Amino acid sequence: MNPRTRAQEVAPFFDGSRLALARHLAGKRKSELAIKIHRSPSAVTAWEAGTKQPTAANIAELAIGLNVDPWFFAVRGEDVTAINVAPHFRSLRSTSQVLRDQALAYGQIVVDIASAIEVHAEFPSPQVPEFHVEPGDTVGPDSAARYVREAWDLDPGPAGHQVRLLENHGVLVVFSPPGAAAIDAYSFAAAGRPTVVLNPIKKDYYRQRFDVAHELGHLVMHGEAEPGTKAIEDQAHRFASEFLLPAEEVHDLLPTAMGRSAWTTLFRLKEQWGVSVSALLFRARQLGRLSDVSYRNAMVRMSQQGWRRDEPGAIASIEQPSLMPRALELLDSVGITTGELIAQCRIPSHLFEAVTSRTPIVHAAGSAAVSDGGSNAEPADGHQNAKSSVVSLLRPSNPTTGDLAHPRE
Amino acid sequence: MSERERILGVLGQTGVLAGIRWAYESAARRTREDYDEATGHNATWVGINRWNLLCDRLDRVFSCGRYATRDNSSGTVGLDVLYATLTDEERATFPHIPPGTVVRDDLAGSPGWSNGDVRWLLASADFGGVDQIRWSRRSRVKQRTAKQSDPDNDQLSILDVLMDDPGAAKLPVALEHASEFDITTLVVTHTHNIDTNDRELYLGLPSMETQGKAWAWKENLLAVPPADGGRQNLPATDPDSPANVPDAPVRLRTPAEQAAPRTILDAPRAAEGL
Repeated sequence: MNPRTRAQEVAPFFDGSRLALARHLAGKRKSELAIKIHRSPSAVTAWEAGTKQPTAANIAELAIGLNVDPWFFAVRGEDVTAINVAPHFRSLRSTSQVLRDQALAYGQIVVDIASAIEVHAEFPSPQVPEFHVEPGDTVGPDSAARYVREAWDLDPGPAGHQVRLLENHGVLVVFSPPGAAAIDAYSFAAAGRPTVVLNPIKKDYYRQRFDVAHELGHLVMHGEAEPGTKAIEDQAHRFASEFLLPAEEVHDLLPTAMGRSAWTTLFRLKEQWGVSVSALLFRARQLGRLSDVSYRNAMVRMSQQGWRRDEPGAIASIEQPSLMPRALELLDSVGITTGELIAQCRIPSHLFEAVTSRTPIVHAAGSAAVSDGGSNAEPADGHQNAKSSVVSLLRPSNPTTGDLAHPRE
Repeated sequence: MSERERILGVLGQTGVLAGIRWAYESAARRTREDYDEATGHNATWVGINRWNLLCDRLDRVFSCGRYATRDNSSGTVGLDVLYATLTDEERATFPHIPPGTVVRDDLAGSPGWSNGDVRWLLASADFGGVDQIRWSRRSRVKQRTAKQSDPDNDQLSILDVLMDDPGAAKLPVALEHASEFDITTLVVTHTHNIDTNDRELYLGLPSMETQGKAWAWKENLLAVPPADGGRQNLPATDPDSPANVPDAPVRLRTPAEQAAPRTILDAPRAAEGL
């Protein structure tokens, strides 16, 4: 069946919020989409707001312009994709609104897929303790971390596999898809299912574990906090430090001066606790074991050795999620195929695969050369002409393997 | 081929010029974004901030300083560190230049970078004032930089001086100054009008103003092609799970449980499809 025929079928069920979701996944502003389909921005606004209904021809143009099946725009029985809380993005200033919208839309897709799977399979119920910490509270994060360790009945010592720990307590952990690698890890709680989205370009086992603990800190402490502020991010960092390196247990293990034996100690602690030497040094200073001067000198040494960017460590692979890939294996064993779930969610298959993969999918994606302009730049003032560098998540990174989601084909 | 053409050719082919341009544009953008007069920022703040950020961005692009990689490491390691706080556009256009192409090469405390036999230092200036820089009022190292001979033009004039200058006895001192750098040392000069966002970026060989001009030659780096960037081809991460931790528990629902309505109520078409 061709797209135009499907568009005619979808027209009575058209839902503007689904159009907005698709546009955000595509990383497009309304004006960009309007240009692409030769309509006015106000028409796109009206369709998304539901004040006007697009014709079947409009729907076909939108589907082609955004690279989705027309059925993507159909109303859902229940809006499971709504995320009513703002996700915790770390670098709000360096993350454009388009990219934030795209990341949020991806989160909505994650929750949607999880809900589709949960019709057939049961995940661990969410058990993320709440421990509200006021902005500016520098002690609260430590208490929150200890509270979670106790609530989750963790033994003293290293906190183990962070991703699995969260999954065992009902938190979805997924990787960002190819093309969205520009954003740090982020987290949100939606439809009763807390979710952590990891940055696929972070290939360091030790730093990734810290990221996971950092996001857990947001989920525990910052349900109602203003996301992205420095105070909030500092608190999540403090939480992760205490969660992975409890002061009571590591204080006496950390070095007090940076001689040769101190480095040996740090690299041994790194492997024991699964935390980078950078984080251990920071913790040593935080707990008053290292002076500011010793810490600074140690960081200079880290830079000279190339360790700040590429720290040596025994474990080369990162922690991987299991909830959704394991569920798909189970469902497949009883005849419920991935194709059926993709059809139900009405999303492109490559996006489904990114959400449900155990490993991050990272490879080449298109980029836009940006001429930022300036007085002696040629051409002048490239700001106005700069193309968006946000890659559409609705287009497969490898066009030979991706496709549209066709519910019946 | 003149020495100027040779230098620009080498730096262009290795991506160094585009890297400097990217670094400058990123530093200027962030400085302007952070600038807030009402907070108390002033021209001094702008100058210091842009300087610090430019050093940081150059270190990122060339894998120097805190962004250095270990020996033989690929340029794609630690991309999360390399990309920290950059905008999505900056990440998308980040010029990936193999580590080791450029090394940090400070000169008498002045931040510098070098590629082969060419080093460059940094010098800020007021917008529109690049040609009026008076090197004699700059730091000692900049003064020495401006005293270097210009291989494309200076040889004859030195000989002329030898022939004509009755005080030629002073020439050895001048020649010593002119040749005391181990390698050719250029200057990247940068300006930015924070109000209008007008910007300038040049690479050049400075000359003392006593010769009537501030530059033996200079090249407009905002006219060179911008970095084409592009995200890296990154290998998939090793699929082996650390410590072989078992999967999280997932259980198939019974038919009765599946029949109970949950959260998915699909539109007619999708239900039909399934």
